[in-house]
Amino acid sequence: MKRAKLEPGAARMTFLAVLAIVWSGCGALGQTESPGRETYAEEAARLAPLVESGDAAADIVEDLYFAWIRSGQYALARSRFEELAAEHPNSGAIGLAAARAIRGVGDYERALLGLEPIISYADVGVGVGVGVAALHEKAAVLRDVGRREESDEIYSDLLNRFLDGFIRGGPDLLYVVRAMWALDQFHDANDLFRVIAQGDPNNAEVFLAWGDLLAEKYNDEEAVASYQDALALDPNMPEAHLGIARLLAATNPEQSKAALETALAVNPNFIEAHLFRAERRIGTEEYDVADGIIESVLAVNPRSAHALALLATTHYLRDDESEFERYVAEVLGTNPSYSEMYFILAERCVNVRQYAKAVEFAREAILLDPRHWKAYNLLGINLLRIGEEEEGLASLETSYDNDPFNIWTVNTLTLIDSLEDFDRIETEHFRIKLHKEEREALEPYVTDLLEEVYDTLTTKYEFIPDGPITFEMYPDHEDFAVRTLGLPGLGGLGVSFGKVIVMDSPSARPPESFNWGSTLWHEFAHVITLQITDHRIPRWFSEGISVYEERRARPGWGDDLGMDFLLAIQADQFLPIAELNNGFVRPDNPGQISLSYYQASLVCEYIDEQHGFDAIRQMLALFKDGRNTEQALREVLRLGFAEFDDAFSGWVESRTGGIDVEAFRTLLQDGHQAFGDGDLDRTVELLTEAVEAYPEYTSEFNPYETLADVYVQQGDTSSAIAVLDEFISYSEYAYGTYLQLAGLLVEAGELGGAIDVLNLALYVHPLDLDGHRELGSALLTEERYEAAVREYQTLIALKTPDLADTYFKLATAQFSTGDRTGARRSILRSLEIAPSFEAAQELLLRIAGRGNL
Amino acid sequence: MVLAEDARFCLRIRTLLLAIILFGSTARADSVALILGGIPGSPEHEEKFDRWTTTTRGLLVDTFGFAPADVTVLTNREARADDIRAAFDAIGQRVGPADTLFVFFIGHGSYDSGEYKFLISGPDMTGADYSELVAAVGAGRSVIINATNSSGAILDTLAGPNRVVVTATRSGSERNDTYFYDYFLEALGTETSDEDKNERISVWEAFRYATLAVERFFTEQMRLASEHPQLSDNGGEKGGVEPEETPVLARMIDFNVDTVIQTDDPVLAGLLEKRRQLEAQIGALRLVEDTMPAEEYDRRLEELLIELALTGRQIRGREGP
Repeated sequence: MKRAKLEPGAARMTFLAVLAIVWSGCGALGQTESPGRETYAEEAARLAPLVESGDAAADIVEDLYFAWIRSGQYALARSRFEELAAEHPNSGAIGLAAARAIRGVGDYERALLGLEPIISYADVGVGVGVGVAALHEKAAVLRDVGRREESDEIYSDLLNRFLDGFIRGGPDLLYVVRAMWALDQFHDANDLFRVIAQGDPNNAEVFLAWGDLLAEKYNDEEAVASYQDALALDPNMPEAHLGIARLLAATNPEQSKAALETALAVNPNFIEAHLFRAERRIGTEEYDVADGIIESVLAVNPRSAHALALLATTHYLRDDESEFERYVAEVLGTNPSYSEMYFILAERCVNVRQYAKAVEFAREAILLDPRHWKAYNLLGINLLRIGEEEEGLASLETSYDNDPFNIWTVNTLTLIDSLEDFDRIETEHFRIKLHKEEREALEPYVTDLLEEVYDTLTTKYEFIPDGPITFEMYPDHEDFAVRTLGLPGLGGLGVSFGKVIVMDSPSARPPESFNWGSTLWHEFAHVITLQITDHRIPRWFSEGISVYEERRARPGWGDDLGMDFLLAIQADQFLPIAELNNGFVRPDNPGQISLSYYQASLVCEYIDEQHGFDAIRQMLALFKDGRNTEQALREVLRLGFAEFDDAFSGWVESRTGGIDVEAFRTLLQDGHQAFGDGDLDRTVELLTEAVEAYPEYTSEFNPYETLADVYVQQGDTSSAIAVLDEFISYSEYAYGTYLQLAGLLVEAGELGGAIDVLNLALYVHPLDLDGHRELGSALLTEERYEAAVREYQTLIALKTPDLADTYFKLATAQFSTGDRTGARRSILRSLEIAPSFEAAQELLLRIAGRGNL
Repeated sequence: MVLAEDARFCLRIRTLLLAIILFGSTARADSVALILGGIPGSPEHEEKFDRWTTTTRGLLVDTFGFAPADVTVLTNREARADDIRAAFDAIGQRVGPADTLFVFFIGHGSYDSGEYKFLISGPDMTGADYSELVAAVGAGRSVIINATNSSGAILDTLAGPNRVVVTATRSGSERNDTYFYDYFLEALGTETSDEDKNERISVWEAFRYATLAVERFFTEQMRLASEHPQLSDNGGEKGGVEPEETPVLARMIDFNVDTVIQTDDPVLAGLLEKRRQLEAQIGALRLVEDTMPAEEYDRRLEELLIELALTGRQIRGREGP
């Protein structure tokens, strides 16, 4: 794919010529100064008598309108301006303010009626009358009711008047720039904003609107700066506070919260601020709270399409189909082309991992508004998430062609371009992408483990997922993040979208910090649980099952009872089951997420142990049918929330209650002290006791590794093996310990055990040469030649420096499996490098049938 | 006359083939080494450079069979410009066209205004100075290992016929402390680096082992590689472990001091000569691998290797247990 740099076209050149004229006439601009220093209530009190006289200038009327609206006096604004309009029918400014106030409470038809006479009588071509403003307002109301074509005609008309020189200055330019924006002429709008801001640097409205444009075009930094410019002129301006709150929500939640509170302190009825709050609550799956907030908005504007769309969303997410449809009908009844509703639904479906539904809703959004470029982005990204690459790419291309500012689109397309560096491999159940540079080294292990987890979990859950499953591994973590979210900076290791798994490859993480095998297993478990429930599984149960399945795959995999978890449990920080999902979707602190993973996995362990695995399967079936956690627990386990919490707490207590952390620390400290003093017997005594006291402690200064050292020093290999064997049953990252244990097992003649341990090591550090060498050697000795072939081929792919020896061993293994052709090829490569390599020469003679000469 | 690029390459190949085929019949060659230790500048560097220097000398003498007197070590204050010149002069008195000179640079390098300097006590010397000193020694072959930062800047200056130049970095702008030499010493100390299993470590084998280890180090540490070791062989283009031209000289020169196998048994002598010739033919075949189909290459290679293997058996049978 090629993407051209954005260049202005011919029409834009015309605009720039006009801009130059405007620029030269900047001194004639309105020089409006926003009052700002007083409160809106004070301002309203000051301005109301002037406006009520009927002689107030248009800007005074507008200021009063904003003073009432921005302090939340929607009803007052509407009633007073309607009265004033009746008293002063010839005042366009008052009529306009009345129409705006009427629109604000959702009476769009009356607003349009009120605007008509103003437009008819006003000369919209010259001066600073309200005709341009009224036209713009009419276009906006027409959009509110879905009459987009008529609306666009008005915006085009405004733009033409500007291009023809009839609108050259004053506050009307703000309406021109909004018209450009509405017609997707973002660059021109941005340029004109710059001119207007320079000509009228004290007009907070300009900076507010400019901030809105920049925010919509993903330029968060400059948008915040623009909002701050607006607040410097009018510190109360609630829209600017809200703009900042929105933009900082993800990166600076504290400041975002403060900005939102300020906005609501100024305007307690601020519709968009409340809808922002509601969106946040929907994001954290607090649908009842969101509904309450939305109801308060509807009390102000009962026909707010945005508010009704959010209500439709909460009901959809609750599986309340009839209410969902009722609200959808209500929205479309007011605004038949309100594509934003489907966009919101699509976004929220992503939030609850219903990617296929997100695709459906994004398609609906585009059907209603083929210019909804964000919907193309959302459609494209989610098509990729469900494995529909070709259509996803096409959608993203459309998004980019029309909205090249969208960073999610740009990042994802750039990533797709880089997929040329990936090889595509197909197995029975998977379509796999591995980076070309890693493919040879990883392919055999990745394909084997994928098919193993597929067989294991499809059998266990008696469920065949829709496939083939796409599996992608990225050596650059930021590529993984972009593939997942469209943005870099994601902290996770892997993600499952149900039919697509994306994860870091081993080289994306520092050695010994990542077990790609357990991550793969975890993510495939999500494939099962997402698909088996039609993506209706709550997050806690999905994550809990994934960790629970990790533990059953290999020794040491899956979270164990680390010290942080133990202390949290002892401090009673496990969440009640009713709130466990909150630990994932709205954690109180960063540590709560990992604690919630652990707790969720223990809940699954508990259910399995106390009620049988079938209970887990039954719960999955109920979630598919739309039941919630409370219903599932009650129907399957016959337990209410409180009963479950009591039973689970008791079970956890039985597993952890006996661990005395202080006593354990003392044993550790004394044991290591004894080791330092050279008192090996005492070391063994104390550290063995430490292991018994808290066996799952495998972090720094754990007792196992020191104990093993002592046993090795004492020549007690079997005890060293036993202690390290127990250690790796709780730890999944200790590559060095795997190799040490394998070495001890080889020494003890237990090659089978060594092979098992070395296979575990490869899930931690598959790119290290030593592990493959040791494993290859043990496999050859054990006459497991096919597996040995794999190890030596991998060593060659990893550019091992001892190529001649490696090719020789590969040839040996190949010859032993009967692969004479492969063996010949390999032994030639060995002897090509090392012609006088005696053992290889002998093998060559055997392969060539000259062994007995 | 200006030779076309292909013709020049062919000429180089023919020259090298001749060298390979003739090499076995030359008289025993000596190897001499000069280890230069620059000023360390900090206790940490002093410890590291001392360790590198001591280990290098130990490997040359204890592992590779250098006579202690053939290894000259100049470090820190003993390594002023005059001392270095004197050392080269002294070595030049002892070596001849059949001998190999090894020069090791251990310390800091600097690169400024396009010029590399090896930092020593007193006035530093440039790459051109060292190139002249190496030439003046008059050894038949020279191997220069420069482990300093910025060492890549000296490579073009030192490169030339009958020289193998190894540097820790690709250019003068790679100024960070280097890791290359740690792995180079590891290569000299392990049989894993003995790629061709002839129980000798060639310059190429050590370079390849160390370079791959450096690459792996930076990859595993998830750090941007701040050094890219380079090798120039016989005046050819510098490169890494996948050079465009076969590094024949670097493959041919071992760190191990030559030992001459002498025998009174004419049959055994004939077999040894046959083996030498077969090895030379295999080497020659490898050089022209790209000029023939892979199957044809493998067929001819296999014939030679089988013949070599059978000859090896006969030699072992003749030598007895």
